[in-house]
Amino acid sequence: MSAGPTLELRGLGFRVGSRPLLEGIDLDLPAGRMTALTGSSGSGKTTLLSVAGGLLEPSEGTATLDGRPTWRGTGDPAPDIAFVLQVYGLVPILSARENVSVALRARGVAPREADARADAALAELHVADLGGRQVEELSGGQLQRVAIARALVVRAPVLLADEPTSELDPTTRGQVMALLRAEAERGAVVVVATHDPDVADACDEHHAMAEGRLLARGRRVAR
Amino acid sequence: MRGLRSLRAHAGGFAVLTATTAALVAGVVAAVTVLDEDGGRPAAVLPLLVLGLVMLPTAVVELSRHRRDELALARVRGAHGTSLVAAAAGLAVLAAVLGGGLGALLGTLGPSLVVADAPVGATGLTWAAAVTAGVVVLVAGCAVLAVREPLTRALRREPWRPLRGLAGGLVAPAAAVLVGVAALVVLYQALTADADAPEAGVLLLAGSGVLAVAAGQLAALALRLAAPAAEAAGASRSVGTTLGLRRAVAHDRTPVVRAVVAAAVVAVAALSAASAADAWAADSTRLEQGAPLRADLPDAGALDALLLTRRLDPDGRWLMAAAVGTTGPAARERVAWLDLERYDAVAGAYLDDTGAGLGPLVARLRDAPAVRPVVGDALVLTVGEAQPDAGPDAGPDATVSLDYVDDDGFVTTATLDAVPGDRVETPVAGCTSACVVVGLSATGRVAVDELRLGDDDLLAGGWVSPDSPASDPTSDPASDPADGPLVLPAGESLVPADGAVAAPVVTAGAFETEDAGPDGDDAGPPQVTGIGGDPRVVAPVAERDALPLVVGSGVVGDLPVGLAAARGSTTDVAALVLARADTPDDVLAGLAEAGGEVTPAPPSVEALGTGDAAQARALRLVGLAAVVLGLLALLAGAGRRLGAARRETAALRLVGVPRRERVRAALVESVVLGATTLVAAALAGWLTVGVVVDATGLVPTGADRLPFGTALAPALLLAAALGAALLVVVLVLVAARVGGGHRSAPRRLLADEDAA
Repeated sequence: MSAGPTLELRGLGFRVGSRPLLEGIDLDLPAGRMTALTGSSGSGKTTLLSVAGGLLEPSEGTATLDGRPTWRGTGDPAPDIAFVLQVYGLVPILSARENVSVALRARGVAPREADARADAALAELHVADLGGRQVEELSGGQLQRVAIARALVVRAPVLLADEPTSELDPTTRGQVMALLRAEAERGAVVVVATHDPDVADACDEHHAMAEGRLLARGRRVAR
Repeated sequence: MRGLRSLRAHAGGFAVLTATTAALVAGVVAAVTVLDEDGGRPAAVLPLLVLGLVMLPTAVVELSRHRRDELALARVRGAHGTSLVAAAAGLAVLAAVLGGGLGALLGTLGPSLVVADAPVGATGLTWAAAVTAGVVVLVAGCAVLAVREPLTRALRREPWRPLRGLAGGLVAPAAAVLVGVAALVVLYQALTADADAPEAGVLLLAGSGVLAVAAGQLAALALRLAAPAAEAAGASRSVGTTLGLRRAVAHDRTPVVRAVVAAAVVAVAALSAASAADAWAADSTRLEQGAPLRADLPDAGALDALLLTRRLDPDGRWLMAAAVGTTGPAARERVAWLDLERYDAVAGAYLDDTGAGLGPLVARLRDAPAVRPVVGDALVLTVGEAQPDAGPDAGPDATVSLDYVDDDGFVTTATLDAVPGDRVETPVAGCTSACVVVGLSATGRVAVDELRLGDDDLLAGGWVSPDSPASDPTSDPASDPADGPLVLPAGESLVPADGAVAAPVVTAGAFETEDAGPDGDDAGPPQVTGIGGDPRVVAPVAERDALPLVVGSGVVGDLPVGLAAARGSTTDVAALVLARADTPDDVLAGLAEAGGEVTPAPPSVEALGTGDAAQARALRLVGLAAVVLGLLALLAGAGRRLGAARRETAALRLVGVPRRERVRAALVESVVLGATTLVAAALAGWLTVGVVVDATGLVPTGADRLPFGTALAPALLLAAALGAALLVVVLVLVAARVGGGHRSAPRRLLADEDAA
């Protein structure tokens, strides 16, 4: 594990109208560690990831990365935060390779190098042969792996993954968790929202949520 | 109840399909109502029906796309066979029926708002029922085909490919091939069309619609074929350029381009044809009228008209005399003589826009001897001593008579006794403002040394026998002032020699080929029927498609030149005075006193006749309906397009694509799609108007009418093509703004299980 930034959530709350979706979230998400968020549907996991990553403006409190608010006023995440979305969020008109490489090209990487790195990322997730396919032609599991490859390839300091293994078979799920672990070991903040106990167990820390609040905090026990 | 819920859930797609059907039916019914009332040809609506065949499936597919989940759920619940067909097609059929009813109402009542006495006829309702029935069948078929997909695919919400089933997969390519073949046949028929055929065939009449649809398909095909090139081009460029190129060639962009191009072409064709018919009518009216005001002088001759204008308008500011002789259908028998000295002042601006203006030719047409009005109060005659070879006719008691048209237009004779060696003089009446000498005779053979009226030397122009020289400019005149005195034969009248010179004329119609000689051969110089009824040698100096007063077939020359050597007018020559619109009342009153009833130009629509005028009105309605259908086609895909754009923009923002690159993408996409639309619409519009519409013979013309041509109106074509391109560009730019300017837009991508 290498030293890196910490994603700090202080008194974080988020409301839609008068309805609170998040309340009183105080959490430090350090670099080099994988943190799992669990809880039933509607517990606030996805909303927490969105507010923490700067997609939503907090109603109360702050979310900062190295002291800088993650909310930048537009809903666009900072370049040092990467997302794996539950609904993938891929661009339909682009191929799988282009969906991955566009994240690099947006960060100034030359097209040729971006494509090469995209191919490598897809290969790590065993979908290199799908690089030329339009995303419309891919299955759910394939789409999810492309989305994970897109998040991994930019090697961002923060990786927020929402149900990253929901469409994957156990073998592939293990491979994905290994890749997320590698990201953490590289020094990234890795947060995974999941329903899967095995995924939660694979993380260094585990926070359960209910009705927009953190219930409990646990640490991974070496097996 | 379930149906109502479905209707409410898909109100947008339902409304667009209803509106599309209504626009189609309304356009057809309105046009047919107008045509039915005035005897036009209902085939004018065929292009609109062809356009409907393309527009309606697009709207149905969009509605079916909205209902995909609903229909998948119905299948899960066990719907199959008839019940599934009813579920799939029910809403579309309801939209078609409602749209048909609404369209029938609009199409029936619409013309009565424009044309006061337009009837609410059974013909329109019959067409409404027929078109609505066709639409119902079409939308039902499309709706059923659109949901032919494996249930698992629908449930997994995999990308939707409408019309991809076996039937649909065959229908689309077959339809494309059919349209392509039909377009080629239309072009062939148009290029080989017989201009004299009474009516064009059905396929040719529907041709603008067929070509429009084919043009839309070609534009869409071009975009699809460009996909690999766009991929290759974008690979090495900025993210924005890559995205823009990929978006432009994406398969979901092509239907909009196809529909908008087709609608633009049909609109251009219909409006161009209507505009051409109106322009033809306006030009025909102007040419037949000759000037803004016209006064026919039934009791006057051509010279009278000339002198009348000289008297009422000495400065030539408002009036121009003219004479039109029509003795037969041939060009040489249709002759108009205009006092061209006044042409520019009186009729120039009125006729210049018709393409038959004479302005540049006036100087050449007047470059010939002409009658010259003279002024004086006394006639002076000097005859020489009796010649030794004078013969038995010579004698000291001869009298000399001079015929002239006096100020009041009457032919008057002044007579003097010819006293050899003496200079005699007699008073002349009616020549104080202007008169014209038309004849000279003597009772005995005399040699005239001097003949003068006032200050004018009447021997200067020479005199000839009316029997031979007028028709033969090569014959010598009876006198040549340079050779000595004018010898007057006993008892024979001479006319001014000016008429012996060929009159410069401009021709329209088959003049040179058919009317070269008096007997149809080309042995002699060309002739026309002169003002006095005698053949008049002419020298064509230019040829036009049409001319003032004689329109499509005839000859126009200068009136004073034409009057030279003409003794009055025959009854076949109609004398008239043309006047400017701003002619003072007192001048018009003078015309009225002279027996001329001043009439303004009739409404140009009268030149078309009721049937063709109705055709023009109907075409305008067809063009309007095509524009509306194009807008609806844009609207049909707009909702889905904006939704996709929102998700796409959100995805791009999530991965960090900056705003400038997203803007660049929108610009690249709009340029590619806009340019494709512009070029396709302009080229197809040009081809359709120039070849197909022109060949349909919208306005039946005769040999003596203004030739009709659907000349391309560049402004209209450009406006339609630019309008179509602009619509596509606006859709692209609006879509680009969606999801790009609001806070938290990327959040829409998250499946918000918590906040739901």
